[in-house]
Formats: sequence, structure tokens, C-alpha cells
Amino acid sequence: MKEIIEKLKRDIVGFEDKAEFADVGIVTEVGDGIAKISGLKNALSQEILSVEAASGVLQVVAFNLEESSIGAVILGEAGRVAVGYRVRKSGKVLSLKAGDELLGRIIDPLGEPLDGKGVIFSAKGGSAGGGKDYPLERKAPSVLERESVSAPVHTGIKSIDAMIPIGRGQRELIIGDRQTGKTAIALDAILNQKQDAEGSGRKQVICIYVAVGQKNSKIAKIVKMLEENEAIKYTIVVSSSASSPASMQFLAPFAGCAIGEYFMDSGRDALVIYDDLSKHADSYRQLSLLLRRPPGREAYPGDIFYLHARLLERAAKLSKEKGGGSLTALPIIETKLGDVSAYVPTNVISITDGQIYLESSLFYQGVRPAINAGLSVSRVGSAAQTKAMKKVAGKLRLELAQFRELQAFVQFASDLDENTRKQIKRGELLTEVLKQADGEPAAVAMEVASIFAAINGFLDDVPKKDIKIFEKELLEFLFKMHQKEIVEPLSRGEWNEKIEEALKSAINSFKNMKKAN
Amino acid sequence: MKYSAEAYMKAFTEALNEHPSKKDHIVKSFLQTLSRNGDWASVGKVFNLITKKITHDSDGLVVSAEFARPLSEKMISEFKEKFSAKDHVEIFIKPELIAGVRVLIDGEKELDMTLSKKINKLLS
Repeated sequence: MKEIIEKLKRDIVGFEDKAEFADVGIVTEVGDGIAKISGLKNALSQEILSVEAASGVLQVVAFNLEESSIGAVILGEAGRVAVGYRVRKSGKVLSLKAGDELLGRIIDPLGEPLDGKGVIFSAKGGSAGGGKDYPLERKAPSVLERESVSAPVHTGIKSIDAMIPIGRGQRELIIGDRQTGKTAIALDAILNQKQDAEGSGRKQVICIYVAVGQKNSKIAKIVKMLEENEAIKYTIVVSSSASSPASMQFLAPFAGCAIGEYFMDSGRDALVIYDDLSKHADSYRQLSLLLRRPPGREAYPGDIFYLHARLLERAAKLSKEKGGGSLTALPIIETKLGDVSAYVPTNVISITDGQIYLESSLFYQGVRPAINAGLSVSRVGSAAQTKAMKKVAGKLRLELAQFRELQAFVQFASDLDENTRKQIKRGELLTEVLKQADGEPAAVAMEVASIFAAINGFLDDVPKKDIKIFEKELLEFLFKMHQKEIVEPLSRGEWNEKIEEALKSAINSFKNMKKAN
Repeated sequence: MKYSAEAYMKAFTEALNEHPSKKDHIVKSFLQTLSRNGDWASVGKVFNLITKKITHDSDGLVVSAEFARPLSEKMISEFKEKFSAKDHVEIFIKPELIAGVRVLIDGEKELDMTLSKKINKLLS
């Protein structure tokens, strides 16, 4: 109590208030989360302005700087702003506090906690000294500050890690219709980061999941899953659900990116998932139309391309001089009836370094993850693939491509020649091996061993229906009996003749053991 | 709003400048036009812009003074005398200011000498 009184006394004695002219704006119009403000001629684009509402100060962001007024987006309760209220400049652009304290937390796009676990940054501060201000909009690293991707981000999904590899610092789009498993892929990638860092020598990847316009129930389910798998420890969830104002949905990906940049700047590797950018584009369209910006194609504003380009361009692998950190981006786009040629999907496809294309028909055939290997591509990831994965995956792509060409003849298999029949059988076998349930990412050593066994004909005599059980038992056998000579080097990405021979003989001895039983 | 407040202001002031002898007719027709276009709700905003434009054209300032308590006629005239004859001075009473005065010039510059501001600053 005495301390409080002393503090108050200091405040009162030291209080100074000079009467001087100050720049001020007046709210002239308000509605739908948008305020028109007259005055404040020197306001900056994206500057935070403070509205002196009757119930306290409220923040708005200057979006449209017009000749005689400012179009601003209200952050928070729009109902508290009324015509006639005073508005003042803050001189700051929109930013949030980023720091290690954010790990394991669920926050809104302004950095406020949503998980009921109390304040994130205490005045005393933690390891990061109470967090560092990171602007939501920031210039992407320049050419000189970057270097090529060199280390992989393993998703734990065999078909992706083998055929569409993702590098640290890459931007890989996940695209597909509704209910095709887009979020499941992103979540598997998060879950896999823990086991991928253990014993492999690779740095732990910090994950940021940005939910834009998602149902609260879905976000709750995702958080629960992350908690159950202990992945929440290295994950931050930025939530802006379907019930959030359009302004919050618009800001969420930029907030996630700013947090990712904090980890990248501190020399660490971060992975940010934007789920999804279709809804983000919709929220930006809503804001733009309310701000009376001219609508363009599909009523999106003219700068919708720039919006996503400037967001995704911030993903980078920094040079050693800049600390060597990286920010990998996995944006998600939802297509309508498989139409990838719509406006926003084509824009994002052109910005990213490749895409993972998910197909409804494959999903309903039971091929899960429903990845269309023909349309999916990774433009830079192969440079980051480990030696072991490169060795086994090269053949896989070719075999699957040949299988796709022959797939139409599957129903006439009995009339085909021996070679074609073999190719079809191998293709079916590989498809079976690449199937994976969601929430069960595989360690990279296990992925390599599985694909190696399938490609080299070790599974040819296993009936299709038994492949999953055989694979599971084989991997358990390798893990228990050949940890040192096979699993550990494969985890580190090593590959040489010795490992190859050891793997071959281990698979053979497992098969012999099975036969004997 | 069918037309913007700026458009109404420009049309009105230009019409007035072009036909100064028809002032009464122009004012009457202008109000009818606003009503006919369904823009009557914005009449306050349009009038403010017109006031600002006319005052600026004659090199004056639009001054809005807000006092916490009602002033006597003498005080009002003394206050207005502080400004030039070209300036447009409006006085409002706002009890929520508690004490003091707040002066707004051209809707852009403000001199706030109210008690409510001081209390807010002390408590923030």
C-alpha cells in the first residue's frame, strides 16, 4: 500500500502539462468497422491512430490516405466509435511484441492472449527481456541478405518428403478443395518437427499456425491435438476465427509472419502456416469494398496480388552474416470444385516455390494424403533434400509417373503383357506404401527405409492388403534391432554403400524371420 | 449518399460565386436538391464543409471552442474579439470537459486546456 501511495505521489508531483497546439482528427463517418476521419494530414499509411472514445482510447489503423480524409480500420469493438470523437496520431505502425514467451500460447493478431494463461510478457521480462516490437508490415529481406535453401523441413509425410521436398526458407502452397486434408498436412508437419530434431543434428523448427476465418471449434480441436502430442511447446497459434472482425482476419497472417521473423532474426528456423489465404483474400476484399476502393476481378481490389506477394516474400533463408535463420511458409488455398485457375489460387501459385495439390477424387478413393503427384511440384526443395532421401526418391517419381500413364488400363490388367502388369503392380504397391493416416508423421529414417523396400522389390511378394502391417512390423524391427547402423545414419540423412547393404540384409532377415513364423 | 458532401459543397459555392444576386434562390434550391436526392442526413456535414470553404476563401479560420460551462454574453463577445472578423467562431458547451476550454482550429489543430484531459493524462 505504501509503495502505491509513493508511486502516486511521484506521479502527481512530477506531472507536467503544457498547453500547446496538437494535430487532431475528427471522426466524420463510422460503420461496418470502418471510420472516416477528417484532419491529420500528416498521418502515415498503416499508422496506428488513437480514437478518444467515451469509454476509453481505441486503436484504428490508417488505410486510405485521401485528399481530405483518412479511411481507417477499427481494431476492436467498432460500436464504441462515434462521429465527432477526437483522433490522434501515434507515430507508430502496427506492431506486436514477439519473444520466446509466445511459445505454447494462443494469441490474437495484436498479440493479446486468448488462452486464459495470463499476460505473456511481464514487466520484468523473460529470456527475451519482455519481448521485442515487430511491425506487422515489414520489408522482405533483400537479395544480399538471403541464400539458397539448404536444409529440409521434413513433414513426416512420405510422398511430400520424397517427391515434393520442402526446404527451410521455402514457400510451398498447399492447395485443394474443401475436406481434402490440407490442414492435416500442415499439422503433420508441425507434429513431425519434434522427432525430426531429435538425433538428426538439425535445428528444432519453431511452428506458427495462423488460423484465418476458421471455426472456433476447429481451432480448439487443433490446439487440443497439439497439446496431446506435446507439439504446443514449440508452437504458437495466431487465431482470428470466423467471428472475428474482417480487420483481425486481415492482420492475422502478417502477425504470424512478424512472429516468424523474430525467430528467423535470432538465427533459428521457423515454419509459418497460413490457414487459409482464400479467407484472408475475402477479408481484404471486404475491407477494401467498405473503404470504397475500386473493385477489380471477382470484386477483389487491384492490389490483392501485392498483398499476398509481400506477405510470402518475407519467407526467406538468411545468409550466415545475417544469422542463418529461416522462415518457411506453408500457405493454404481452398479451391472451388478443383478450379486452380481462379483468381486468388493462380496468384498464390505464381508467388510460391511450388504447390502440393490435393484432389477430392483421390481422397474418396482412399488415397490419403490425397496428393496428386503429377500436379504437385517443389521448385527449390530438392536442393535441401538429404542424401538418403534423394537416393531412394529419384526412382519413386519415375515409377509413379509410369504408373499414372498405365492406370487407365488397370481394369484390363489380365489382357496386358507381363512388363506392363508388373509396372501396374509396382505402382499400386507404391501408392499403398505412400498412404498415411493423419496425425501419424513418420520419422525420416523410417520414410527412407519404407520407400527403399518398396522401390527395390522387397514388398513385391506381399499382398496389397497386408502392406501396411508388413511395413509397420519392418520399421519396428529396424528401430529395435538396427538402431546404430541403419536408423541413426538415416536420421542424419547419410547414405553410402555400407548403409545400403545393411538395409538390404536387414530387410531380408526380417522377411526370413516372417516366413519362419 | 447519392453524392459526396464535397461534391455538394463545391456545387453550392460555385453556384453562389457565379450568381451572387440569386443567393436566396440558390440556398432554397440547394436544400430542396439535398432532400430530393435523399441526402438530407448529411446536411450537417455539407454545411460544415461550406462554412469551411467560405471562411478559407476569405482568408479566415474556422474556430470551434468548447467550454465546460455556459458563458455570459460578455464573455462570449470578449472571446470572439480575440479572433479576426474573417474567422468563423462557434462556441459549444460540453460539461464532460469538467473545467477549462478546448479550441479546435480548422478541424486539424487543437489547444486542449481542459481538466478532463489533465486527469486522463495523469491516470494513463
